[in-house]
Amino acid sequence: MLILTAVLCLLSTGGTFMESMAFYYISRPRFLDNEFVKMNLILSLFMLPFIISVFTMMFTGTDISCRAINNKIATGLTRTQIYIADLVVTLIMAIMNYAVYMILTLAIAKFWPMRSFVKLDQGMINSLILVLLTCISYAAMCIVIQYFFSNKLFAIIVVLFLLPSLLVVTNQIKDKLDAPYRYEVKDKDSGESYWELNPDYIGGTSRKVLTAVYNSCAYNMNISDLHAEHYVASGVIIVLSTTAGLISINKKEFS
Amino acid sequence: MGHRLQTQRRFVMESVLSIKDLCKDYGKAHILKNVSLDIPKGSIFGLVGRNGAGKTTLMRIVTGLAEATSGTYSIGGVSSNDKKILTVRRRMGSIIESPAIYKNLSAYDNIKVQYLNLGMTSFADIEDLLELVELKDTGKKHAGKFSLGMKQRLGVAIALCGKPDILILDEPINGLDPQGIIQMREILLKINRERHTTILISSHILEELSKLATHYAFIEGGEILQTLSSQELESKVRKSCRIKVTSADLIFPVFDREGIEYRVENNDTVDIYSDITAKQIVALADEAGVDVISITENNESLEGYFMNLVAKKDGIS
Repeated sequence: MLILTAVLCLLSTGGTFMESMAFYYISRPRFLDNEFVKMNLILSLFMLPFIISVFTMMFTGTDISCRAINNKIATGLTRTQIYIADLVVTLIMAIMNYAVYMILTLAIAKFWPMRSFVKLDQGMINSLILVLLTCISYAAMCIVIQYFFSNKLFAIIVVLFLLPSLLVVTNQIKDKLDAPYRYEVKDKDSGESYWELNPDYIGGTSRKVLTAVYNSCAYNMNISDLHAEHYVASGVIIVLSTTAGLISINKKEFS
Repeated sequence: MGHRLQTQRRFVMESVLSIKDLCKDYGKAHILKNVSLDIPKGSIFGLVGRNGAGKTTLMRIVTGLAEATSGTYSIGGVSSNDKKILTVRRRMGSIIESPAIYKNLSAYDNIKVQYLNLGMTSFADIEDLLELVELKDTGKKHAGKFSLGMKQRLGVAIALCGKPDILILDEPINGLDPQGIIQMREILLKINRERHTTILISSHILEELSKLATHYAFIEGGEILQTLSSQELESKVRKSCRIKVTSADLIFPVFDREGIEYRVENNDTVDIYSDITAKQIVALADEAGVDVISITENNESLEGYFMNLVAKKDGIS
């Protein structure tokens, strides 16, 4: 899996590099800066969840589809122990894959034989933390989805659909938040214009909630902004998905 | 009936697995209804029943793969309500429906994984296990490429990890060819004989089960119809004689008049259950104007005994 991560990182970095070179060649002398790293981090928000879901399918999914989990239950392990063990292993793999990806990205940015202006500033650190939180949250969700759907192929399809779904939902929220408070209306007869309140405008507590949700989602692409909502959302996702997973595995009857 | 007689074998009547009033419902469907069983230590206990009778459900509950709606069971004296049941369950090995194996690992590695699950750090016994189940020469071949018989034997080897006191095998000879059936039988008998492992086994192939089991439980519609040892079954099976005549229709009125219990097999074959000599049969046939072609002793098979039991339960005479 780590080799796969490294290969994907090199491919995405290569793509970003080529794009950066095309841009910079037109406008200014070639060099690498934090924008280069940021683009790779955005790509990692898609690459790493894909890798985590493949790992979950290969690890937990195989246990369930081969029914080898029956052998574990037969040894006297509780279902909670089995679930937590799977979760811990998947989280460790998610963090290791994240580390490989980030180290490769930063190493290429820093040590590529050309001018490099990469700096580990607050924005970069925020981005790194944000991707790590996303990986951990995704790993927790992958495990519960795998236990919920015994068929590992079906589970991976559901997990992969999460990514575009999160993008769509985030964009929908953004559209709602961007709706203006009022808009100008022109009377056709008199030619006068007046302001009318926008019925689609969301205000009050709903706006606060939506803003918090929007801020907590890594897929809003504001990758340098790290809010407290990100930590809360990540924690909530891990707790909720683990709780759902434990309930699912304890109620499940294995054949 | 071709079952082994256990006249010289004494069973310790201590139960290694006791089931008491176990019930399992799925919605309104009652799959198990107050099932009670005691599996004697050292026995090979055959669970006989039709498809859907509740055999697999019973085994799944006892192995922890499913929860009972009500009732309890105990393994080695430890109740299912006791937290220690998890520790005691390590003394049990099982194959439910089909062997649970990693298809991309070799036989050795599959067993090694189970050793790790059990917390065992020494893998010295694995080769002996492979030899016991006749998989020693498989090398690095992936289990996914094994034949069905080899997979079943690997499943038995995995179930034997940790030297369990009891093996629970759900139809382990299903789908095997005759050679595979013989191999499996030899392995199970060896395990029971040498390791004194108690075996709870269910099978559709009743003839084969009769060559293995020392005790039986007959289950139908989620209820236990009867439990008995092989000796008790031997004494209970209906002895009969089978006669072949030129025309069975002509002989029935004579049998009915004499009150003889019989069952028609086909146009020229009749099974007689009453205590009657061959000389008497010939005399009655003569009276009916029928020639007797042959008379043979024909003991009821395990299958026949079970079908009669089910028929009585259903109220069919």
